[in-house]
Amino acid sequence: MLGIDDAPKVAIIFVGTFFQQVLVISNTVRKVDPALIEASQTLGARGWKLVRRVIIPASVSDIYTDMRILLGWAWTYLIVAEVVGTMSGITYFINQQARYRNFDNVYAAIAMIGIIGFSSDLFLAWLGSVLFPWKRKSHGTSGIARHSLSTSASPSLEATTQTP
Amino acid sequence: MSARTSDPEAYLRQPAGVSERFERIRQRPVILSVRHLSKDFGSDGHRRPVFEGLTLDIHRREFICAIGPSGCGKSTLARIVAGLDEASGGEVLLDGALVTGPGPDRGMVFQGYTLFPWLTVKANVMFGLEMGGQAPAIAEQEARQWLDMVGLGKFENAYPHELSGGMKQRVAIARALANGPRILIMDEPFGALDAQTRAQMQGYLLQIWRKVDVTILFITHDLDEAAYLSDRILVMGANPGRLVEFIENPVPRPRSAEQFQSPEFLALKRRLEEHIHPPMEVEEADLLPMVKLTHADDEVE
Repeated sequence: MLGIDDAPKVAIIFVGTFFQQVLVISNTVRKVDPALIEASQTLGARGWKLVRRVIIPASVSDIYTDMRILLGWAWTYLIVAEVVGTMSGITYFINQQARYRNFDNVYAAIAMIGIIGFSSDLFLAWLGSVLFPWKRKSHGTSGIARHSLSTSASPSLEATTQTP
Repeated sequence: MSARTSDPEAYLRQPAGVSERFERIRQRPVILSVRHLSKDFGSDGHRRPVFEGLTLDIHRREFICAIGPSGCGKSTLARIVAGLDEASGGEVLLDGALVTGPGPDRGMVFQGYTLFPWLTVKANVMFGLEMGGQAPAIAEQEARQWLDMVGLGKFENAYPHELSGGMKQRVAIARALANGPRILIMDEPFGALDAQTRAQMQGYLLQIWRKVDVTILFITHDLDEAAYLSDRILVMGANPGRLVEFIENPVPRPRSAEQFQSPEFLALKRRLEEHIHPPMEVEEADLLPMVKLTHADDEVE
């Protein structure tokens, strides 16, 4: 329906991650510290100003972390998409080379997926610390919980290397 | 202990300057008026009253401390006055106008600091001014003045997580006062601080209060803190929460740590202790059912 180029891959990844994103983001926004909202209300914040000046900034860094986790999922769906339908891409390459019994190429490609996934996550972690300087020294329980969540993104990337 | 402090009514005897001061305070207009306020939690089947029939007046620039055992509803009272909780009955009037929700005319300082972590110290203080529609340049200038006043001018570009607890709470006080509230509500603001920082903060707060035209409603469970800071002390009781006594603090101003041993202070403290820790058969009932787990030959008591 969407051809055999990039369109079906994009569609599968979109469908695979979009609805998760909606749930994850709504959950993150709901977890904004109610004490911050109350404090801002006693300072005169109401309505749209409350959303724009408090709720969005209070949750944006956590939403960013959610995105990092979802990137791992996007990788998984990419593998699935390439196995199922297309005639190009790194998983297609792995399948093809496996059929020719060129296993050194297969493992190189697998390692490639891992390296790209891991380094992109490292890059995003660094970018996050630049974008949200107040999170750099995270403290309190929520900071620790966040950290363990963000590291769980890497194992899911690792898992993708075993998919083929 | 002198004969004067062992007299149960000693806390009612005010030195000459103090009673005149209360006379003057009573002449001032009433800022906050609480009328037959009651609050209960729970659904219709199991209504559990927090407090009931609370009526009190607070005059302009008075420093009121509310104390009471846990469960007496002192924090709930603060939250209702701030507009964060709704009362079940009665009303709260600020300058004669009915309080219906949170607003910038009632500043609040919480125990947990509640500074916005994504904003610098200066931007935190500017927040309320900007919400009130102040131009950014003017808000910035005012924020600087408030930060200088709490002694944190040098930290205006720091983020809250870089500050100590006491400094955070000073920023929170500056942020609340920058809005020019009629009343500043402080809900156990120094409860999370260590004893030394707490004493320092009490000193700061008195200095600030002396310079600013603001009425303070200060919730605490620390009797020394209440006796040190307050003009009047609102003593609440639990089960159900109610007003037990509204005590005029007999300790003269200006206050200092030396007064902790003055007869007025000791008399007041005794009275507060009678209210908060009534003499009970605690000693016997609270013995833990412990077997002896040591054989070392030293009977410590």
